[in-house]
Amino acid sequence: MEDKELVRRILRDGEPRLYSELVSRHSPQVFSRVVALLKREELAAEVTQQTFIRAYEKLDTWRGAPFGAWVGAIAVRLSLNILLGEKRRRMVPIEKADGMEAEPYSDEHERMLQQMERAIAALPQPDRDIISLHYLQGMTANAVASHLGFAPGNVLVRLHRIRKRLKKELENGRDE
Amino acid sequence: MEEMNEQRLDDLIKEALQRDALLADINRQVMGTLRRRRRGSTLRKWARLLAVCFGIPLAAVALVTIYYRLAERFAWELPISLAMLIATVSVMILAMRGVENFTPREV
Repeated sequence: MEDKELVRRILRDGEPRLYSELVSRHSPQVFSRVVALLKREELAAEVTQQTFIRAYEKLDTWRGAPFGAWVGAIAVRLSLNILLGEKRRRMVPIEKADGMEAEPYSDEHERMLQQMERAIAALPQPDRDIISLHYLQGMTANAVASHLGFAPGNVLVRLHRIRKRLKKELENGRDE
Repeated sequence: MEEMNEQRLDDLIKEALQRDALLADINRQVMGTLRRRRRGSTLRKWARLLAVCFGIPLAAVALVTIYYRLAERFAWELPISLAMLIATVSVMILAMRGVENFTPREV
């Protein structure tokens, strides 16, 4: 379903459930944009949340422009407000403020991360489960195998193939 | 083009998965907030409806009774009648404001 149709239904039925789909669709770009501005993931997550809440409250003012761009503009405005507020309060660069080490950030890294997210999203669900258990939960290949009911050798082979595929997708993206 | 080493690839996969989990959490938080706000707004609308249906007529009756008793006791008919009229009109205006944006569909 297109963004326009989703918004129309949300406004017509007054039912926020469908909004979750819009948030899933656009939050990666919004978050990435906010991180680029604020350079801090924790704060960026908070601003992304506020952005989507505000966008929901103002949904009836959306006039059919690309939804991502519209919600992105709200995110940028909120981020700039935060930056200006912090600048006024501290009067020193945010990165140099005591006890507030900015996380290392680079546009190139952010771009690669987004490519990786897309590549992972394109994987079949069983493959996503395997890498999720292995990389996020820190499970060994044997543990993943017993958790998912595969043979350990099978998991190792699949992990190898998945990594190879992700690497290839990433390198293709860099060449473009 | 610089070849990506295995460690960097692993780090990137891990970071992308963590980001994915973070975005899912943001989605949950946003939807939770919207649901809470919706519940709050529904409760407020019902409370307003109850106030309009029962509270305002009750206030009007109380006012009329008080003024009637005063008029009966002190026999200041004109000033009390005027005051009563103002109070009753105010209550009616309040009642109309209370219901002007009300639709059963939004409750």
